[in-house]
Amino acid sequence: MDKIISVEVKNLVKKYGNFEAVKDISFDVKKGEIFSFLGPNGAGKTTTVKVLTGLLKPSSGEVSVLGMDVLRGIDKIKSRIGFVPDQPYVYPYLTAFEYMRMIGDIYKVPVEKQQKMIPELFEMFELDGRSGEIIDSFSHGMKQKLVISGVLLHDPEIMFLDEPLVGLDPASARLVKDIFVRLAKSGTTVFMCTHVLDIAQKLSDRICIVNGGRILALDTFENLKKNYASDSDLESVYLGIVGGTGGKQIKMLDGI
Amino acid sequence: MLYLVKISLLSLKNKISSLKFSEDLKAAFFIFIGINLVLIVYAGSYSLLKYVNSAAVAGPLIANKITALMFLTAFLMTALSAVIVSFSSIYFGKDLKLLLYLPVKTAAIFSFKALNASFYASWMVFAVLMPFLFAFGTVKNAGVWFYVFAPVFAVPFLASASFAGTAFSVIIMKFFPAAKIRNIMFVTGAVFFTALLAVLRLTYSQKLISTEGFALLSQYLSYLDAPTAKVLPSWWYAGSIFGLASGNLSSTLAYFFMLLAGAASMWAVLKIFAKKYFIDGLNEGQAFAASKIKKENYSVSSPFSSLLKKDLKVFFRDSGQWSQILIIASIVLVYLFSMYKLSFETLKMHNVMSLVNCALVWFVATAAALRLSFPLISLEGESFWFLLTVPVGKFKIFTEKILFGTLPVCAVSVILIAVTNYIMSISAPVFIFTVSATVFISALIGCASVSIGSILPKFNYSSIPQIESSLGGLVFMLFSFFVIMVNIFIIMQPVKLFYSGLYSPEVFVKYFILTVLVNLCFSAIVFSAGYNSFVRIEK
Repeated sequence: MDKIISVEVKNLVKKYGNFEAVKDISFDVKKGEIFSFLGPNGAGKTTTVKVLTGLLKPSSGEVSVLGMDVLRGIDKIKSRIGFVPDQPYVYPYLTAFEYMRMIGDIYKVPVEKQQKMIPELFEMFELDGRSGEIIDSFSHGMKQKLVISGVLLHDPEIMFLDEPLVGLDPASARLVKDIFVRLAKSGTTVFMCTHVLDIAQKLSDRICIVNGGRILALDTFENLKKNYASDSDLESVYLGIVGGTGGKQIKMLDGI
Repeated sequence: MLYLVKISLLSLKNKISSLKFSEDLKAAFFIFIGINLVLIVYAGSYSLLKYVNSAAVAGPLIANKITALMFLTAFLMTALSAVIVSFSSIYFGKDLKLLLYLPVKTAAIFSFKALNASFYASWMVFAVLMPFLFAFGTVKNAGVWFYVFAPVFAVPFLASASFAGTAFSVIIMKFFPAAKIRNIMFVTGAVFFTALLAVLRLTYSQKLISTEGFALLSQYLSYLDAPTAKVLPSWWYAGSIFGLASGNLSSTLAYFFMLLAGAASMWAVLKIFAKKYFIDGLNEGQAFAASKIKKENYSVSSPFSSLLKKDLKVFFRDSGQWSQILIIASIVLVYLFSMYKLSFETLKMHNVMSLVNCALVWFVATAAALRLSFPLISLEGESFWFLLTVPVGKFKIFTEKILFGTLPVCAVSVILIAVTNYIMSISAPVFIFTVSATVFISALIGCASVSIGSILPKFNYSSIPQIESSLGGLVFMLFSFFVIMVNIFIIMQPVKLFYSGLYSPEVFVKYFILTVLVNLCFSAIVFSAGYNSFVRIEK
């Protein structure tokens, strides 16, 4: 029997004025799947994630998340999803603890659960010594860890992650990867935009490669490898699909 | 350094050439408003100076004294602006990292940044000063050279002021702990402004208009004729301007050379300070402020009150925001003092002044709303994604912002109108009527400030004053002015009847209901427009 669909996108188009950032794309993501969304800069990845999380309205097409239309049911959807943006901008004058408490109250996480989970999450991400400091004093990586902690606190059914590993130290990146795998096993859907191809290859159930607002390929890593007759790693598959082999361009540097 | 200047000019050129039609329209609207403001300053200054200049015996001296005080104010305002602008541009500028990586000497980077800060700190003062000066020249029947050289002489004058302000920033950055520097600078700025406002209002204007403090008329005249802060470039500028206006070439040149020497010396001092302290201050500036708040509280809050608490905490911890309160407080105190000093001998004066007082209190409410409430939506800035993804309805979020922005404006207005009415011994019916009406009018002003801030937000800003001076801020001010005029027209009717001896409680009730209805209608319209825009914001 097919798995339950968590995210369904049909003929999605998103325009900014005359510029079409996303051009008629369709795909679905199943419950408990780790779905990687890859593409070069400006490919339309962030725009797609923003449409899925209700930050942007689609210009046309149908988008449903957890069986609800994003245009009509976004208020209900929001309480069941979590979002980590590409830049972890959070209120700089709140402390890390206050931020987590605010998340807990807004998502109506029971106080007992907050009392248990907030210190645990801080300890896990090594923020426990800094929880009383204002976020303005945090590094990019610390802010990223705080935003991820906030998402984990309210235990969403789908996690939308836009470049979640940028700025994280190796230990934290490893920790985050392990968390994603564990969550996916327990039924949480992970939708991840990333440029870290190695992680996408190791973690993803399926990989979607986009460029110029269109889907160029969507399959499991093994099938992509077969279809694109590529070497062993995702980098070769990706460059074969998107273009930019590296070798030709680097010749331009000859003589420098 | 010329290369850095070229980069700035290229950026400006690209920005202008990439403007869309709507932005062209916006720019044209701004230019139109700007030209009108310059004309208003010219007309106002001309009327004042002409009136004063024509007074017997001391007239021309008072006109000169006002001009010298204007220059002193311009000097202090420019120095203050330079303190704030240089701090954010030289030590916390977004392009600083890139500039420091370039193979350009640190001294050249500093000079470029300092000149840049000087321009931004002084152009607005220059724009206000020129129409005043041209009015002065017209009143004094100055020759054509006055209009050519008065703006030229302003360059070394304003440069001295801005270099002095920048030098102050360099010293502060070196000797104060970096963790607290941002707060220190904002508070210094706010206190500086408050003091300036208070000194000018409470000291000089009283002395100028009244001879009571002087035993002899000759003492009064010599006070008027004496230099105003003669060691400051503002007096040298005044000397050169008076010389230009009267055709006294030697005096003009002498003061002009003093201005040039002053600007060159300030630049030299600034460069010495920069050589010694700039890099140290820059390193200190990159250190972070790690203020610890240890209290861990697990009391339950609703999503609505959770957002309200968040806004309160952010407001009180961001010194850039609460220093605005000091400025508003100074405006309020100076206003209260002015009302206290006024005397009302006739019933007609009471009548007129009670209406003028209402209008002024509502203008203070507008000033407060512009600083506290209008920026609320824009201040969400880069964190707006958070508001859009949390499971709280947009209506609730918008209502929270309206409430947060409106309540303080209402409180300030009601307290102010009640206190000023008391000071002015306003009769009970008018007292109650104006205070009750102010509740609804200030609520409308607060609601409009947040709503217009949502219709015309400015998410890309480097300081809060940039949000206030945006197109949205201007639209809010114009809307508020319109609302105040409408309300003055309504409340004028019963107040006029009361002071004509035709008091009737029914008339007061009738006009109060009309005031409530008008303001509720306007509030509903701006709330609805603001909410519709809020819903459409995409980040």
